[in-house]
Amino acid sequence: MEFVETVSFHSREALAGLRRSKVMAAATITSIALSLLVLGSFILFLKNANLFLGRLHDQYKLIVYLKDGVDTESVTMLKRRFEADPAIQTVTYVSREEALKLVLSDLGEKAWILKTIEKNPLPDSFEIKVAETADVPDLVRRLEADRAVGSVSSGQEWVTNILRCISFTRCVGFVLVVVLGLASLLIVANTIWLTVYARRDEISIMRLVGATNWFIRTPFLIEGLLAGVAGALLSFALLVVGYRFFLGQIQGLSLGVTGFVGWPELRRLGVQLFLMGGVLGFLGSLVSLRRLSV
Amino acid sequence: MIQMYNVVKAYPNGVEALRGINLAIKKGEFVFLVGPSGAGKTTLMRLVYRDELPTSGHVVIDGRNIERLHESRVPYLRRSVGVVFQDFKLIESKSIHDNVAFALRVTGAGTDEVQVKTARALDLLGLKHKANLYPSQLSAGEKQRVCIARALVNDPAILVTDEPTGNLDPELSLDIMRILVEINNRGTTVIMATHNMGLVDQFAKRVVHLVAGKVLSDQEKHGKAMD
Repeated sequence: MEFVETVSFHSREALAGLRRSKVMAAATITSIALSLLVLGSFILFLKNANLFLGRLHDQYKLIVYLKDGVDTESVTMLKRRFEADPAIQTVTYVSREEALKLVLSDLGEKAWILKTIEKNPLPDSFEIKVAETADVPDLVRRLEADRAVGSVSSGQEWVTNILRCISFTRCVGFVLVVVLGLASLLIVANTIWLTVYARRDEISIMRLVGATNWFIRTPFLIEGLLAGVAGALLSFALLVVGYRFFLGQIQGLSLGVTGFVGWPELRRLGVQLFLMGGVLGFLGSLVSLRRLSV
Repeated sequence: MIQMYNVVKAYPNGVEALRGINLAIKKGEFVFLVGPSGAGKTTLMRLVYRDELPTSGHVVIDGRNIERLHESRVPYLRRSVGVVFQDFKLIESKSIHDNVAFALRVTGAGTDEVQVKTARALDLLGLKHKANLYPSQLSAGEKQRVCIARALVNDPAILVTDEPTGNLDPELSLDIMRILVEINNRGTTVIMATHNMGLVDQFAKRVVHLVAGKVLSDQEKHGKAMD
């Protein structure tokens, strides 16, 4: 039999198999959909958590306060040195006058508080964006060693916490995704096992008339694959509806939280779910067939 | 074609189904296997299509020692051995045509070949007009004929039939027998296990009598030459 004929025969057999046992097919699709819905929701949560933590990380700045009386030439030289430092991404000089303006605009109506003070108490400073947060402690040590530098506000504890949070979320996320994935595989394999078991007589007859294991397996594997993709489609639809509802609720609460994972990322998750659905269905069928020594 | 040397088959529960069988069946022979229930007829036949392996001794089918046959080669042996079961073993979800065609499909035959050979086998067994029906819509005799058509569609060298008339009335049994004799006349080696001595007596064929897993007698020609 030519390849195309073989594929078409097995595909027809697979579709006939799904049609014949509609209830079991529905059970398989539902179990795959629910497993992927749990897994997908968790991945979406992780993506949002990562996005949120990443944004906090991006907003991080080091502030280097200069000592009083540092002259313009020293400031320029210091700026050049900072710009040449590979650990530093951007440097912005904020003079004490600019700093005051910023404070005043931040205070708004309460700006009168500062009117009682005759002299500008704020120092000249540099706002530094670091290239790698992990380099912060080292960089702070180097900056503080400079004679022109009065103090450095690094918020190191805050940075460490954010970094710890990111790596913790990633680690726990990875482990949970693997555990959930395996649990899904078990559930799906057991559901498919019921389908395969119900057709064990058919399988034994196929064997007796001289069918090879691959000949017997192929329609079941295609069935598993189709059920997996159908389950993924269902789970993705539910996930999108649920996510939109969740976003609607969050916006309704006016918490000021914005910047959730958007459609492009959701689409990527959809592709991942399709792949996972296909793999789940395929592996589920394969595992079940192996239990019948096929 | 089929050789058995000191074949013993013991099951894990301690039952010895075969106890030192020596048997040689030549190409094109028709052999009745007779004996009471539990004599070992079915076990002996299952060895022929390698559904069982001997506990000791050797079984050689068409020059192939079945104990040494790799698992992956078993399907190819089975394609040269057509099997007819007492309980038919038809796939209920497939039509009569597809049940017969399936045995050809598994060999990798193309659609045209499948159509031609399936139609021929169904025609031979007088089932052409029932091709689109399902097993549940057929009588026992018709199911048995479908089973024979499926066993024959590959032109197997050996046809093994386990009580093929067990569920049928005397007239239908005779019909089935005539078909098997006809197949044998075309050159296929036929082994038929049966309880039905009345039927055996009507055909002048070799009869191997099994009792308690041993060959009690092996008569070259037995009965009237009704065929």
